[in-house]
Amino acid sequence: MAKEKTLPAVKTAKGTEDRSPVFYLSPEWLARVKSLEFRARLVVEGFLVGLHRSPYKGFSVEFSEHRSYVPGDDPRRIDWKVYGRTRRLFVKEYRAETNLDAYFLMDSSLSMNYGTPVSKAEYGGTCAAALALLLYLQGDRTGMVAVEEGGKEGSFLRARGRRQDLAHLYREISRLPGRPGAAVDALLMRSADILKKRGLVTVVSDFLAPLDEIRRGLGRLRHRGHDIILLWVLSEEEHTFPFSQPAVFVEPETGRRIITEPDAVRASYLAALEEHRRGLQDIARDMETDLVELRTDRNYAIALDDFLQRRGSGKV
Amino acid sequence: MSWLAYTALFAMPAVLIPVILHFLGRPTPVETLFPAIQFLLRKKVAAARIYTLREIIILLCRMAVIAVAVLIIAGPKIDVSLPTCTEKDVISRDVILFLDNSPTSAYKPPEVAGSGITAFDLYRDLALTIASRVSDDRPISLMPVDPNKAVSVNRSLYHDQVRAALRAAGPGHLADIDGVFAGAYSGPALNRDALRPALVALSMADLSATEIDKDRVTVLQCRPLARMAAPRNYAITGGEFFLGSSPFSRNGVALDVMLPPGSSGARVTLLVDGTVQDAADCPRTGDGSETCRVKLSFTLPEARDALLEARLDPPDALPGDNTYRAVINVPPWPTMTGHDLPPGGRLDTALEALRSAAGGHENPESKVHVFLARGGEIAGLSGLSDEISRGAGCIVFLAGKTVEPADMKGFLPADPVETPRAAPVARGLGFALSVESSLSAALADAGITSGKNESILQALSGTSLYPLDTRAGSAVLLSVEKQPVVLQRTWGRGRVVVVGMDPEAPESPFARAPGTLLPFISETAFRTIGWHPTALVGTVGRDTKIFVGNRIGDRQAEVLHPGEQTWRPLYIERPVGALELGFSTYIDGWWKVRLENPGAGFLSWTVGINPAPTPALADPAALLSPGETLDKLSEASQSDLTGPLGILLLILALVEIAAGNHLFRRTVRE
Repeated sequence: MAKEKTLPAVKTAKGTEDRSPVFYLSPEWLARVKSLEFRARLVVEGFLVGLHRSPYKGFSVEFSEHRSYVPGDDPRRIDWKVYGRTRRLFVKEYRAETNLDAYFLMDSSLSMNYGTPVSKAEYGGTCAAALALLLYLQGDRTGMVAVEEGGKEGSFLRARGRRQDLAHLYREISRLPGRPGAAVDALLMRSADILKKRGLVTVVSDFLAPLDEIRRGLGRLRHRGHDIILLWVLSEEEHTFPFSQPAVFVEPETGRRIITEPDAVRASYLAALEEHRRGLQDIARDMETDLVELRTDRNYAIALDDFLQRRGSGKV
Repeated sequence: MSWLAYTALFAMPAVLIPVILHFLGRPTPVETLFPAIQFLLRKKVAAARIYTLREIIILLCRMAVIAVAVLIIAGPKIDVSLPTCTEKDVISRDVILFLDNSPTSAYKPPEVAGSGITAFDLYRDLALTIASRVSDDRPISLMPVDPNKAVSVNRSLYHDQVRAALRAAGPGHLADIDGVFAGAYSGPALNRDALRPALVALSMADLSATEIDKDRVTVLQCRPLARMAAPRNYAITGGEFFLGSSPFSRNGVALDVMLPPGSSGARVTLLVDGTVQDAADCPRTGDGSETCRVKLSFTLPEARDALLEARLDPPDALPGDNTYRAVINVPPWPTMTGHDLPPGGRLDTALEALRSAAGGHENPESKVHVFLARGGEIAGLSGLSDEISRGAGCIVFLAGKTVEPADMKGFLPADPVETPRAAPVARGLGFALSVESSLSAALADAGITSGKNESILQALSGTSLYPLDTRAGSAVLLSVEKQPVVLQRTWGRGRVVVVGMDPEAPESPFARAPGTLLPFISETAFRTIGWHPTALVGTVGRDTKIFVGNRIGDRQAEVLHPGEQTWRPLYIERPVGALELGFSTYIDGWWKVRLENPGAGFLSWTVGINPAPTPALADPAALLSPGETLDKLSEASQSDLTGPLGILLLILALVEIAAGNHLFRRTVRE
C-alpha cells in the first residue's frame, strides 16, 4: 500500500486523476518506458499488485515439501492445517516446473507497425515480454520465432531458462517493429518446421491473413503437439473504423489503395471484421487453442486478465 | 399569376448553391495507412449506390427548399376573375394612338397623289375612325411625334378631346419617333396596372428598332420599312453650314439649314445633281448677330445616289467657300396600300390578304400594307414571323395579346358603337352624403324623377358607379350634366345634394383640365350643404379625394390599396374648413380610406374606382355594403399562395432532415 501512495498522480483521458497502479499499465503510460524488460516487469508486478496478489506465487508453482518455521520466514507461508493437526509450525516449500518450453511466435509483418497509442507490434511485444517474465519466474524456458519477408527465418531463439536468455529475448522482441517481416501464415508454417519439441506456443499477431492459411499453419503446429495460444492484436481503429472524412486507405503490406467514404462502408467493414473474428474463433475451437483478443488502446492489466481468464485456473 | 415582389425571383439562381457547395466542399481524401483494408473490399458497391441516390435526393430537396423560399418571398398570387355582377361587365383597356406627324408624313403616296392626300391624312383618318369606335369607358392617349402640330392627350376618357386634337393636327418638323414611341409604353399615357393596352401606331418609320415591352404591347412591323431609316443629321461639308434633322423619303427631303451669324439677308440655294431644287432667304435682322435657320426640301424620282449642293448668294456672305456638297443615297420608296381586317378576323386571314395583295411572294417588298387587326383572338404569330422573314412588305399593328371575352369582339367593336354622351363614365363624380333615408325615398323626396333628371338616373343605374350604399343614413348621387348643376332638396328625414357638370361639354371651362373640376364641385357642395355631411367622395381622372367636414378635426388617415391587406398612411391636406384625404391612382378597384375617430375607432369610406358595375338599382337588397364588398372582392380577386408554399417548404425541410445530413457523401471506388 505504501508503494501505491508514492505513485505520482496521472490524469486519465477523462481528466480525472488516477493513482491506481493498474492505471500505469495503460499503453499510453507504459509507452514512456523505453526498456522492454522494465516494461514487462512493470506489467507483471503492477498487474499482480493491482489484483492484490503476490507476484511470485500461484503461477505454475508446485508444492514440494514442508520445513520447520524459523523466525524471519513469511508468516503467510505457514501451513495452518498442519499446525492444526500437529501443533507445530511448518512452512511450505515450492518447486517450480522446469520442463516447459514456451515459444513466442512474433508476427513481424508491416501491418503490425500500425496502431495507436502504441503499435500492434509494441503492444503484442510488451504482452509477450510480460508473459515471458512470468514463465521465467516460474522456471520455464522461453524462446521466440520471427520470420522475415519471404518466409526466411528472421529470429529464432531456442527456449532457455537463464536470466541472460530472457534479456536476449527482450532485445529480439524490441527489434521487431520497423523490420520487414512476413505474414502470419508464413510465420506459422516456418515455426512448424523449426519447433520440433512440443511446448507452449504463443502466437502474437493481428491475423490479417486468409483464414485458410492460418488454419493450415496452426494445424501443422498442432500436429507437432504444441499447446497454442493466439494473441490477436488489433488497434482501436481496426476495431471501430472511426474515420469520417473521405480517405485513401493504403495497405502497408501490398501498397494497395482504396478511395472510400468511411461512413458508407463502416457497416460492411464491421460486418466483415466480425466474420473474420468468427472464423478465427472457429479455428481456435477446432485446434483446441485459446484466442485472446487484445486492443492496443486497452490497459495491459485487462489484457493479462483476459489472458489468465482464458487459461482457466490462472496457470500459464 | 402575379407577384407581390417579383424582383425576388431574380434570386432563383440561388437554387444552385447546394450544388456548388457540394462540389466546392468536397473534402480531399487523405492518404491513410490501414492494414485491415481487406475488410473494406466487401459490399462496397451496394453501399455506394445507396449513398449516391441519397445524395441526389438530398440535393434536389435542398434546391427545392431554396426555390420555395424564393417563391414565398416573391409572394405569388393567383389572379381570380372578379365576380360577375351583370352581363354588362366591361374590361377597360387603354387605347394609345401613336401618330407619326414627322416631316416624312407629308409624303403623298403615289396611289393617292392625285387627290393631294398625304400619309399623315391617312393616319389621321384612321386615328379618327379608331377614336370614334372606342367605347367611352376606355381611355385614349394620343402621342404625336411633333406635339407642336398635334395636341398630346394623356389617357383621356373624353374622346371628343382626342378627336379635336386629331382634327387640329398636321405634319410637324420634329422627328423624334423613337423617343415618343418609347413613351407610348413607358410614359404617363400608359397605365401599367391596367390591362394590356392596345397600341395603334400610325407610322411608316422603323419602330421595330425601338425597345418595345413585348409583354405589354404587340407591335409587329415588316422589314422593308426598316430601310427607311435615314441619317438624321449630316453636314454637307462640315463647317458652319449645317443641314440636319431631316428624315427623307423619295418625294422630299426636308432640310434644316442653319447659317452662322452674319448671314442675315443671304439667300440659300439647294441644288441636286446641278439642278436647283429649292431656295430660301435668311431674314434680315437688325445687327445680323442671330443664327439663320431656313427649311429646304428636294425630291428625287428614283432611288439613287445624288450630289447635294448648297450655295449662298451673295457668295461672300460668309468667309470662305460658301458652296457645300455631299452625296446622299435615297432608298426606294415602296408603294403602300391599306387593308382592313374584317371584324373578328384572324391573323391567318390577314396573311392571306397580304399574299394576294403582294402577288404571292414574288415581290412583296415593293408594297407596304397597313393592317389593323381589330377583333377576335390573335393567333398564328409564328406564321406572321415567317411572312416577315420572307421580306413581306407590311405593317401589322395588332392589339394586345390578351384574349378578350366573347362579348368584347376585340379592342375595336365590330360595328360602330354610339355611346350616349351622358352615359356613365368610368371615373365620374361621386359624392356620398349622409341622409337618414333609403336612397329611393331620398330620391323621391328630392324630386328627382326619370323625366326631369334622366341623366342622373342613368348615371345612378349605369355601370360605372361604385356600388351605392342604399342603407338608411346614406346615399350616393352622381350627376353628369352639360351645365353646372346644384340641386338641393330637403325633406323631413334627410337631404340630397346633387352637384355635377359634364367636363366634356364644350362650354365647360374644365374641358381641357378635368382635374380642376373636383375642387370646384366640392367647394360648391360644401357651401351648399353647409358642411353637414360626414364626407364627400369624388373621383375625376386619376384623382380621388375624400372631403371630410371640419368637425372631424386633425386625425391620422390611412388608405388600403385594392387587393392588399395593409393600411398605408395617407397624406392629409387641409383646405379651409375641411380635411382632404386625397390620392391619385390609375389602379382600378376598391380602395378603402379610414380616418382616426377617437373613441369610435375609425371613420371609413370605400371608394370604387372604375369597379365592377353596380347591380340594377331596382334590387337594392342585392347590394352589399361597401365594407363587405371590399372584403369579398379582395378575397376573390387574388388567392395568396404563401400559405401552401410555406407548408411545402416545411415538408421539404422534414424530408431533408429525415434523409440525413449526407450531402457530402462520396462514392467508393478503388
